[in-house]
Amino acid sequence: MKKSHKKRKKIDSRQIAYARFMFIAAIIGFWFVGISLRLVHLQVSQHDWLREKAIDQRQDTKKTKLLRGTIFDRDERPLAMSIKVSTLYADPTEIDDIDHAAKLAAKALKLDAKAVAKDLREAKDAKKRYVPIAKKLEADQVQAVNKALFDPDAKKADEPRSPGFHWVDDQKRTYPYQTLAAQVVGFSNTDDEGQAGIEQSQDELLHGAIIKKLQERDRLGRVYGETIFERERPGDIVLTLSTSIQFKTERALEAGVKAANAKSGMAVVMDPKTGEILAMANYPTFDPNSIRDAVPATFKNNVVQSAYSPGSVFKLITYGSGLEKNLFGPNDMIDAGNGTIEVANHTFRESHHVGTVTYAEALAVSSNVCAIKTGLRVGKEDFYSTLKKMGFGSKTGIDLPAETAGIVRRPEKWNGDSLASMSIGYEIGVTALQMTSAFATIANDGIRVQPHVIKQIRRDGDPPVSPQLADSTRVVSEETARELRQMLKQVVLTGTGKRAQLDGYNAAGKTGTAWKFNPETKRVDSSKYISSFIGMAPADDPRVVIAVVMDEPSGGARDGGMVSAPVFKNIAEQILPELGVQKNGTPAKDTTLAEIVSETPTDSAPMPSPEKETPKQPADSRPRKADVIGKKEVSDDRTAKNEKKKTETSKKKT
Amino acid sequence: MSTTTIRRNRMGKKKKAKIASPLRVLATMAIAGAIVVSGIFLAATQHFSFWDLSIKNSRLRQQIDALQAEKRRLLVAREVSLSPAEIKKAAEKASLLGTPGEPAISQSFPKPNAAAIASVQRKESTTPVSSAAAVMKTTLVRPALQPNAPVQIAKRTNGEAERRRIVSNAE
Repeated sequence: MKKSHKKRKKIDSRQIAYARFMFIAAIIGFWFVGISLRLVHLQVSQHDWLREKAIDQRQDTKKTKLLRGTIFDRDERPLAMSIKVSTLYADPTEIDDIDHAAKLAAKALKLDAKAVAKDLREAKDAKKRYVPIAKKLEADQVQAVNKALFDPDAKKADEPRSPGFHWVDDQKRTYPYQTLAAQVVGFSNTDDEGQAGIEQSQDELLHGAIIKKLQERDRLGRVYGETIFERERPGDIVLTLSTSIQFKTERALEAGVKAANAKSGMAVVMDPKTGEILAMANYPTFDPNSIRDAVPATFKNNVVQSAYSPGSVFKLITYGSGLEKNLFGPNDMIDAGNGTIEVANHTFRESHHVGTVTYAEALAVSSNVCAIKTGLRVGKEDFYSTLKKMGFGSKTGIDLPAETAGIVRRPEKWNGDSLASMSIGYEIGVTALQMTSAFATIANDGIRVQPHVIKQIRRDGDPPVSPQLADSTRVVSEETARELRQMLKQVVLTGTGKRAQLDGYNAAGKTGTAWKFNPETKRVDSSKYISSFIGMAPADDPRVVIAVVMDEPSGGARDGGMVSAPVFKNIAEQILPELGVQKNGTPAKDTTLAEIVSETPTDSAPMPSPEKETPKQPADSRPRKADVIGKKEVSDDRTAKNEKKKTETSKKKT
Repeated sequence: MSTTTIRRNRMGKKKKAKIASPLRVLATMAIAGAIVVSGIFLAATQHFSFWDLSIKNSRLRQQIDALQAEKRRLLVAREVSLSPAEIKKAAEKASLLGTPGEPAISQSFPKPNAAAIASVQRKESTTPVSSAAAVMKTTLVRPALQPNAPVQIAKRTNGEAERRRIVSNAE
């Protein structure tokens, strides 16, 4: 019994040890199981939440906008460029001592500390995490603020080293040349959206996309990894404008507008061979850097957005049609009679006595009667066809926004006197660019080239591309264009455009003075004028076509030859040497006191309004035969033969 | 029973074999330990150098961004300073151009009298003109109101040199 008792005792102590061991093992086992279960629970059911929390501690996402594309002139000078700026904001939830922080910020930015503190306190109460303190600060200002807000005790890796204050990237659009080509370049708003000009028409290309930057930070907040979700970078645009020519044009136009005491003015300089616009100016103008101070009316680019009655400048088309149809030659005699002509009960008058002159002289003195006679002989359909071929009544397709097509009614809607009115530049609405393009066609030997302001488009990584242009078309024969140029040269030498004579160059051009259309009375207003001069130089091989249009000149002389021709001269004499054109003409005489034939209109003619077309009336559609007398009376047979010959020649040349 | 004996014998042989090369085992363990430790050390070094390089890389990227932004800013500043309007402003400030409707500075001063001119001419003829110290005479700063007062000539600021300086700084 004793033995068995001893044995039991022995067994008990072993069992106790075993039991203890097992107990501890069980505890450890349970502990492990518990931890495992917890881990499984965390990793399976709370996986997303934990992952998000971990990423949030390590990573931060920054959204920034790529800088908007740059607009260059043809010599690579930036006309519009975006620069990086920064906005300082505060996160009040990170700030303990609001008064101290407000004091620091106010001192750095010269603000009212009380107002800043009030804003921060209100934002903290509302648990707002973004309170902008100063917007769009440039690099030097940012450095100054960083210095002022530096706190050596702050545990922060980013600038400014002050708890609660942060920088956010922003961009600012700048126009280094200020008012230069403001209407062409346009401007963009604070949201980086183009509002006018190239900025608007090419907004899709220039617009900077928002990119996401994923930054990974260590425990001290230092960035050690960055992933950028790239987007297509915005493109750059190279314009055909030349800063230098644009500046000279603008300066000459400003002087001209001020001298004529005009309401406004516009000028275009175009290369007739390529259709490139070298300068496009409007006066008054604005500075796109300070849009808030600008007058909204000046944002409009009148060169492409305003239609007006061109007046006598349009006789180029009328006389050109006469030459093209071979109804007249430059040396044919034409009689302006007693200076009046009646068409459909409407009497048109000459502004001065013309008498019997050559066809070239008739254009030189801007004879209304001769132009009407020509128009009537050309006929409705052919005249309309020439207008359309020249590009009137349709947009030129220039890369600028809100271009107007002008007003050209179909022949079925013309009145009895419409053809006569249109022959002298009334009952039609044109833009300055359309008129310039028509003159450029004559300068380019009758071939019409699409005017354009964009030379190149550049995208990141791609070779630069030129914009697609419409095919060049022949509008009039080379012979007609040459004859017209000679006739236009006569206008400058002996006619209404004497003040456009250049020093050392031969110029050709046409003056125009038209009454303005009053939309209220639906008639022209004889007290308001549009005075223009469109010319080309050198006359024999034109390198530039320059158009100058003055709106409502009121300082004495109001004729295009008196008001606009000197501006043409001013521009041409400055830019021709720059374009490398050698002087070939005789030095200009002093034409400031030259007796200039007046071309102020003497009869009113209604102009069509786009809203209400004038009712169709039985028009006297039968063309009245012009009283062609003298040296070379043109017979119908000759006309037909010559026309056939001309067409064949031009076809071959084309 | 016999089977057991054989097993014991085998175990004994094995033990003998193991006991025979304790140094070998230790050496192997030491080598393995060294490999593991050096591996861990290398990994740690690489990890920390990656960390360090990443931070430096990030800083450099930030610097590139900042420099590019600065380059654009300077380019704009250069174009602004070269724009015709700014040049005109600067010229007006430097009195090289008269504002419209305002007579030029030289016209507003009274003409120096004959005696003053004569004294100046006398002085000019006596002082030898060195070609090295030639000063371009542009603006009359102070009129010679008194007969013996010397005429001071303003030194012309070289616009082209200034422009070049700005451009070279910008580039």
